[in-house]
Amino acid sequence: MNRFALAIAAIVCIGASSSAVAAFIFRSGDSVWVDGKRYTWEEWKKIRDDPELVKQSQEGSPQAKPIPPGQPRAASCTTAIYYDEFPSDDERFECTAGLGALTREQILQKGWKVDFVEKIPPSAGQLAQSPRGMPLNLYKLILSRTTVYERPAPSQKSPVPPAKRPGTDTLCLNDCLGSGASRALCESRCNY
Amino acid sequence: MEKRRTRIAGAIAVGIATAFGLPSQVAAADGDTGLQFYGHLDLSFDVLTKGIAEGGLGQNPPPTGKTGWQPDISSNLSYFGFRGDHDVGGGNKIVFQVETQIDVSATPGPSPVNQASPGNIDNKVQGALASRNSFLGLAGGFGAVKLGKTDAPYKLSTARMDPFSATIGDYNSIMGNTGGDNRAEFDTRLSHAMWYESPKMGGASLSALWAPGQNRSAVNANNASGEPDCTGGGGVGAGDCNDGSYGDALSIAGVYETGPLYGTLAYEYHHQTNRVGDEGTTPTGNVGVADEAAMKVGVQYMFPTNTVVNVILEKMTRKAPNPDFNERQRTGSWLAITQKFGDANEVNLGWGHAGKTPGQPGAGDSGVTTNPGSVDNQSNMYTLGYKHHFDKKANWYAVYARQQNHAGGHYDLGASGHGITTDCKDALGKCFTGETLQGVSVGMMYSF
Repeated sequence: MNRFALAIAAIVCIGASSSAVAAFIFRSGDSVWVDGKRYTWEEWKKIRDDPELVKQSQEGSPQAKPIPPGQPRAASCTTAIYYDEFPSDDERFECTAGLGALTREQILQKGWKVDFVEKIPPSAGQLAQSPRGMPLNLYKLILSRTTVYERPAPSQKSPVPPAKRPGTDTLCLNDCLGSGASRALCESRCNY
Repeated sequence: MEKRRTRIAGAIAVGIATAFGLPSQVAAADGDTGLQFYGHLDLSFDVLTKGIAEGGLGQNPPPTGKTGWQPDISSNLSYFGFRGDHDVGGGNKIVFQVETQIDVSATPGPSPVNQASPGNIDNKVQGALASRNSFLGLAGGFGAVKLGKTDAPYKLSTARMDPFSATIGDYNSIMGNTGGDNRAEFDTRLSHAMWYESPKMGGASLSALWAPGQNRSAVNANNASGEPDCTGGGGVGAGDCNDGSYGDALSIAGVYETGPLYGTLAYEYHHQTNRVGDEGTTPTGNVGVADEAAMKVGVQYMFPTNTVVNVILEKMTRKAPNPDFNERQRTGSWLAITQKFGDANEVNLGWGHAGKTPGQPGAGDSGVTTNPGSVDNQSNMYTLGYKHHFDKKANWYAVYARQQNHAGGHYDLGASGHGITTDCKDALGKCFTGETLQGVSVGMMYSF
């Protein structure tokens, strides 16, 4: 019995320890996979720099609860107007399932995951190209979720600020710019 | 019963200690790890001529082979790599990078001999893993300390000021290029190096690198220990490193950047550079082994009209035993203007100027470089380019470049980046001075 209790205690506690295993982040181009979950680079930068969003992004977070019966598990959000590139972060998407108009950050905060992005071309008779000659599309986010996340009140936020990031790799940045790549791409590549 | 409770409590305590009591040790091994895969592809179709117009009489025989217009397909500074970081706590990270050149259009193999001098053996394989900037280091609020190999801070400090980088109009045909060959000694990657990169302090930052010579030869005539080639290129072998092989290298760059202004001041030093190979038939010791250095100041400014102006002034020096034989000391300058039209289009203009050297070692293959002494070996490079950006990752470009050498000059096109370089040499490797090289190139780039 004593040995059994000892083994159970050890397993429970080692399990508790392993739940704190750190994330593995893989990035290629604008896509980031964090422990298998896919984000855009812009989304991940916001999550990374906000400890609460980091918690939110992890499965098994204390704030994550199962979806109550009758609540939607899938939804979609579409831009209100046509764009010739993926819209900026402050764009509010019109969402189904009673979600209303949400930015991408708000969509993530509510526990939704963007499974993929669909481009919807204009119907016949509508303007098909932007003034700079790029094709216009509506952008539709296809969402799913397995949990409901409740963001803690501000008072519950960790008092410890996130550690300061080392910043930009200046030699990498100059090398990248020197090879003729765009500044936007180089700044994205050369951040620690 | 009491004893049993005590044991269970002890077991739980051990388990808790396992889970929570050792985080200071466990946490260090469990920090976040980020890994990024990235790359850059640049290919072009070029047509160039060496413009050799001289030759035909006495000591100045005509060139051998085809020296006129030649089309080619070139892979230019294409590479891929992975880089990442591993959180070790306290805001510090282990940082790493492994980057490799990829020869997309040519067959991968040892470096093409025309990157240095024809006839030189070069064991360097550009397409081998970690052939480009690769390192392991520690980064934090203090900046970063790294070990490995990298483009020197001196080189990178002005890399962004060359809108013709890796094209046939790359500024390295003149800038950082002491002898005018397709080897820019002061625009180089330094292997077996350690360096420090400071954080930005109100717009200012500093990078400093030291690469030990690690050479058992007293005159740096051997390969550096652990390296397949002479340091600085130009051959391979024990005792044969006499075409620019040097010992310790030091490279420092200070940068100030705020809003539309970017300015830099940089210095690089190569200890005891062995150029005995240039002595040819001249009395021994006139060229010899001597320290070489370079310094430059560069300014980039973006005007509200979306006009970017780049200016670089450079001074390269060699403490030569006899100035009459010194072709490694001169001034250089670069002026480039980029006019952007919206986000997608830009037109680039460039002018590079190489000043006259105190002398030259003689033994040249033709014309005025047959005998040592002072000659007019200045040169001017003119470049014109257009670039269309499809988006932030892809573009296509067209470039015209023209290198106008004075009578004793033999500056080339495409040094330090363009896959196929064009130099002063005919099919037998004889160098003709005073030629006007020119060419056009159309290519495309994709980065991720």
